[in-house]
Amino acid sequence: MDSTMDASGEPIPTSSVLMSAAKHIGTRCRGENMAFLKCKKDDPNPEKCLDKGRQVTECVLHLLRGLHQNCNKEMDAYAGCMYYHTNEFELCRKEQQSFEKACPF
Amino acid sequence: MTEAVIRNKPGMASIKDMPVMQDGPPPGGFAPVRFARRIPNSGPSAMAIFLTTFGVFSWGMYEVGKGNKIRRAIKEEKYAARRAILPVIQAEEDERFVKEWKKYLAEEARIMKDVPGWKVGESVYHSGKWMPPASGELRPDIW
Repeated sequence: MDSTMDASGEPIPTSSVLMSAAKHIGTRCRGENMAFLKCKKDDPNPEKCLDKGRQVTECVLHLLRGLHQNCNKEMDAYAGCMYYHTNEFELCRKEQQSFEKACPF
Repeated sequence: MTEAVIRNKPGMASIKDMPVMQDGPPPGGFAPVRFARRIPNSGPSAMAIFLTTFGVFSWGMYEVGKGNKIRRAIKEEKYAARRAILPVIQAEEDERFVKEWKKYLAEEARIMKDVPGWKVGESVYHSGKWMPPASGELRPDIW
């Protein structure tokens, strides 16, 4: 896995990319996440929560694009390390430190 | 002939006078050997041993607790990350599901269009809640 972006500049939300950005997603997209989960709790029907789901996806993709703009190399290194170690945080501490120093959440 | 040469005693009259060749103690005998028990009564008392054991055990359990705290923090980090990305993944799956569900409902309507009183896509349950489909036909590529 070479880059977190594909050719047209869209972020590729693989599991390693999402887990690398998980702390940022947890803080910056907290409102949308909570709204979506509350909607799901009230009614598990997928058709009823489609709009909130779209807001969540937009927030996360926008966040990934921003991270790619600001700290491209650190994010690619961290996501690559997570991909290699199958999303084990303990084995990627160095890349995590440099990523969080470059892009604090 | 050889015995007489080895065990010769000068001035021997016949071989019956040869000295006896035996393995025996050195002259004056061996040094005395102590074989009596001498187990001393010194050393740590029972209370000292018990307190040392209890102390070592307590320190060990304290270290175990410290290690458990660290391991729990590591697990918590992983679970928090999973909780953070759960809505994105669920939203993507919902989009895919709704697309497939609409296709499925269209197919059901086509098949059952001549059956009187058939409500396409109605739930087989009376609880009123939405239940995930159980037919197992939604992803024929995976089948």
